[in-house]
Amino acid sequence: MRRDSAATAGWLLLGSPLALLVLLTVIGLVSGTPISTLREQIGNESVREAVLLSLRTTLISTAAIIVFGSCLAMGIARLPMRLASPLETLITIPAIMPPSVAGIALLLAFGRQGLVPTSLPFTTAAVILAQTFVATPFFVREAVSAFRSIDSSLVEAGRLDGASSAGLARYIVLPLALPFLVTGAILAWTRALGEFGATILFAGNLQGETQTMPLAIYLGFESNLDEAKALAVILLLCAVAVLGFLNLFLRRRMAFAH
Amino acid sequence: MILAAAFLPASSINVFAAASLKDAFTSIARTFERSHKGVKVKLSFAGSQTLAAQIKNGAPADVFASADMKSMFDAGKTSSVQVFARNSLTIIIRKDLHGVTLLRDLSRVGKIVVADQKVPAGKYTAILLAEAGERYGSSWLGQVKGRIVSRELDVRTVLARVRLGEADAGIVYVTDARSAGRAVQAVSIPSDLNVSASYPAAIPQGAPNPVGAASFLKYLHGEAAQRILRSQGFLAPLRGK
Repeated sequence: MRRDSAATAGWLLLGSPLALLVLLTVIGLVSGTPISTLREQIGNESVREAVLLSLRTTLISTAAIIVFGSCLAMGIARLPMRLASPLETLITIPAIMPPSVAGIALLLAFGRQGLVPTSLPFTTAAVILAQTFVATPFFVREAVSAFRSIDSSLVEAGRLDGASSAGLARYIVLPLALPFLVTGAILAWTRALGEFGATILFAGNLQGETQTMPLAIYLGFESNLDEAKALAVILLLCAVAVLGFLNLFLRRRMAFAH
Repeated sequence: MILAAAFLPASSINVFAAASLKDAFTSIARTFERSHKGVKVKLSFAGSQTLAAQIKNGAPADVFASADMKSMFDAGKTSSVQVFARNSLTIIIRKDLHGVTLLRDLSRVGKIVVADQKVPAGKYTAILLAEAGERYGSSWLGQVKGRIVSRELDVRTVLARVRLGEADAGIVYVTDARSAGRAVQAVSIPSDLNVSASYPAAIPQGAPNPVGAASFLKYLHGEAAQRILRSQGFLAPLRGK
């Protein structure tokens, strides 16, 4: 036992540079932003509008990803591997694309002069589309592996007992896949919340319409550092709160399952 | 031998210049190097405020050429500050859009893009629109403002939007419009409403090569460099100050 804890300490010590890097960075941000600054900046109209816009757009994009992404993942999971893997690769592309590339690609696809000409650029809908595009892989990949991991004999047994397709999904597949789906949804949501490059290129920058938190942070960095810091802390708090919720949820599920 | 050459304190001058000076300063650096054998000019372009912040934090700039006086002050202590060029604003219109020939027509185009007020070009645009609003009325100004679909983080993005055809009109520096050639149409702004953006250059405190910096500044105010600036659409500095 003693040797075990000595080994643990050793591993932690060797890995500490990474932990320190993250810890010091977070402390730097939080300690550099006094509560008074935060309180003052929440009264600032552009800060408030950026926060609300970010919450509104990311909720819509995440909801769209969950609805369509679950269906897509279910379809992919049911395909034979040789057909599934090209589809999986396709859906992963946004995750490996630098966001600025995504922005240009979206413009060339859905801009006024694009492949599918639309009047989306410079609208809130464009913000949502950009977020949906970049965040989709994070949910769909989780969901596909969740659906694949479900023991097909359970589903078969349910079917033999006369459950309908909807019943199977509701009482067998969904409960088993839920922890993965929640994880995927939260990964997608945090990615959408942090979206910058694709948004600025495809949707532009207008307060209340397309200026999300990351855009306001970037602009504030050069002119109003207090505004930038306050927004950065709010963004971090949102993400940490959701991550905390995720951990709690998963731990309770595990405890329940045992 | 090669190593020695690489590490010898060869004379080099670090020039930090505003993004809107990119084309002009690239040419000026080339001609300067041609007439000053053995001297290397290293260029760094970014938004003036970004460069000012870098210099204030100790970046080794020998020369700082800014798009406005404010950034020059923000860069900390500098010496021999002098305006070397001026710029003004122009309206640009999407290549295939017709019927826009005056500033006044701006209230009739679909989508307008401008620079954000936090960058110099955006600050000048705000002044211009306020002045124009005095002349054409507040309802005109309201219409124009209502058609602004994006406030970009730098002026070159405004140009790119109009060039791509995503926006119908934009407001940029005359020099930006000129650099785009025929990819956009320029609509000039009445000179009594237009703003005059002054570009100062100076030697920041702590410049590693102040002697080289001084010779570059002298060259910048000289005939050859001024000719290049003029060919890009920059105006001569106002004399007699």
